Amino acid sequence: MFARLLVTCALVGFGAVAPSPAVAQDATTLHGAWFGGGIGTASAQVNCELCINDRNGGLSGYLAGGLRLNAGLHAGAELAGWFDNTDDVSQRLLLYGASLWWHPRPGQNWFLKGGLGLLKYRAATDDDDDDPLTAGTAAIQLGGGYDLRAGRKLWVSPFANLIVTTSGNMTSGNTVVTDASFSMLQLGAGVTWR
Amino acid sequence: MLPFRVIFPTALLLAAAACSTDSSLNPADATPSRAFGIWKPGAAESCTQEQHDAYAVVGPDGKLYPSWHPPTGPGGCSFGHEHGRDPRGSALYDDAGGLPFGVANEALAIGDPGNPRDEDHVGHKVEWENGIDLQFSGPGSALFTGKCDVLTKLHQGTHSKDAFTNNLHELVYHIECSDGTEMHVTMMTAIGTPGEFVRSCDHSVHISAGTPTPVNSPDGGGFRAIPDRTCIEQFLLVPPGEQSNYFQALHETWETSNSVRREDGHTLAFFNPYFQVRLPSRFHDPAIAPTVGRPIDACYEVTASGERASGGACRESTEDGAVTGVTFDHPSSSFDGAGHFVDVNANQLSNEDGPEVWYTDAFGRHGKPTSFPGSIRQRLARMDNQIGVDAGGPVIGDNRNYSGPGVHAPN
Repeated sequence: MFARLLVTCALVGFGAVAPSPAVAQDATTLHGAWFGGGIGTASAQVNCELCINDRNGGLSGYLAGGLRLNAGLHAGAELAGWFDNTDDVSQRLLLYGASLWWHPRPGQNWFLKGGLGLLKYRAATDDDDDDPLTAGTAAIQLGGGYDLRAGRKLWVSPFANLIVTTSGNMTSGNTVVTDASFSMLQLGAGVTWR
Repeated sequence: MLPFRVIFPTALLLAAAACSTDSSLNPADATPSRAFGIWKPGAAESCTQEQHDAYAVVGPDGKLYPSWHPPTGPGGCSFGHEHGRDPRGSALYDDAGGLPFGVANEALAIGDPGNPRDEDHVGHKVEWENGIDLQFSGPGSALFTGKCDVLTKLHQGTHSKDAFTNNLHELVYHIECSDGTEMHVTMMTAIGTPGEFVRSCDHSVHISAGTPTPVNSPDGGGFRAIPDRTCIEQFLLVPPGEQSNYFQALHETWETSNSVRREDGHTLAFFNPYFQVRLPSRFHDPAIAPTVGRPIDACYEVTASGERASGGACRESTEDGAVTGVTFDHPSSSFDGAGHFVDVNANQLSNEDGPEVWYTDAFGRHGKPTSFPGSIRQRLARMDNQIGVDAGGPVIGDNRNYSGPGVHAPN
């Protein structure tokens, strides 16, 4: 609920400062460095033989920065996350990734995104006696979005991303749960300075 | 496959044939195991030994073993003891091969003839549950789920001095879970340190009780928590106006820690069920020869300062003191050890490379893919999966009491 509220506020806020669509040509003629961040919600799932396999909603966001490779292609490093606290167990997914943002059609504002990275998972309680449950697996990210111009160098971009991982081990103390994988569907809005 | 009764001794071997796990075995050729035929009816029992011994199965080694039977026999006669829950309802009963009692004791006697460990008949206690939910603590509680079928049997004698010193007891453990975890293990489990036990009302106190049988009993993990006179004095004999605390005074917990290991020492499987008994018929009392105190006797005690048992099992056993002279082996005594149950706890496998069948010595050690003299066939799923993240099995059998008509100590 909190995450939804944040997204709604963000979208309304961005809408207020950026009522006019960006001109795609502008979006593809800028050069140099860029950075940005976004916030939203994500539905995440932990998959394993023993797992309940419920999807779990939570607050999500990202920070990213990089360089323009050419007129339609941005490259960057990204830190994306998802956070949830249910039944006194806090969970988080953090993606340390490298991604490409591609505007396939100059003149239009939508873009596609793809990337690779390492997804780190952690679940813990407030009890110091409980070993946290952790995992780290390779991840692939696919997504897209739409750029809206909000200022001379400022862009607002609703986005959607899907992050899925390979299978790996989840560990807690000496215990190992094998063949665990993760997925995260992220929806939100980002702000980019370039 | 189901054990059944035959009244006439001549039909005994036919009954065994019906219970045999291997149809190629001729029950007429089945050699009685060390555990077979050792129960004799006492004065209070109305069943015959033949009626009792009709509950038999041919074990994996082709020998004849006793198995589960109800507390009553043909025509309602009484055996005077119980073996826990009827295993025929377990989803794992077929895997248990009729659940013979004493296979590991037999293997030990073959593997180490100079140091056998024989156990009485009445101490074999069966417990099982189908479709139990594994319980996860910590962060796993929000993430994991799992169902298992469990069938287990421990020799847990709580009527004699045996377990004061002896830490070796036969354990049969079958588990099959929704994630593929599967174990079918029979072994002599070493529970705690030989020659000693821990005080049930204060586990930090270790009490040396004598020389174990066999003398070369290995050290084991876990412990056997058994009541002693101190627990009786602290929690059963209470000042006027107070209620006795029977859980503290007379509750046994045998916390096992078991592993099946390869010849090279690699642990293929680990599991650690705890076996608990309410109201055993004995406690350790070094002031009495042979160190066995009887709770029912303590029910009649009044200390110099007026402390005595109050309420609960003493009241039930003696009709609040109105009935005097109830003996420890009388069916009206509630202290018969028939309230037993099991905490399932952790189940871990590290057998991804297989094979599924291992042959170990009686202690679950020196596992090899082929059998050897004194070996026991163990079956483990080919997988690495330490169900855990603090997975706990639920308690099974806590809501049951197996005391039936005529059941009494020694049970």
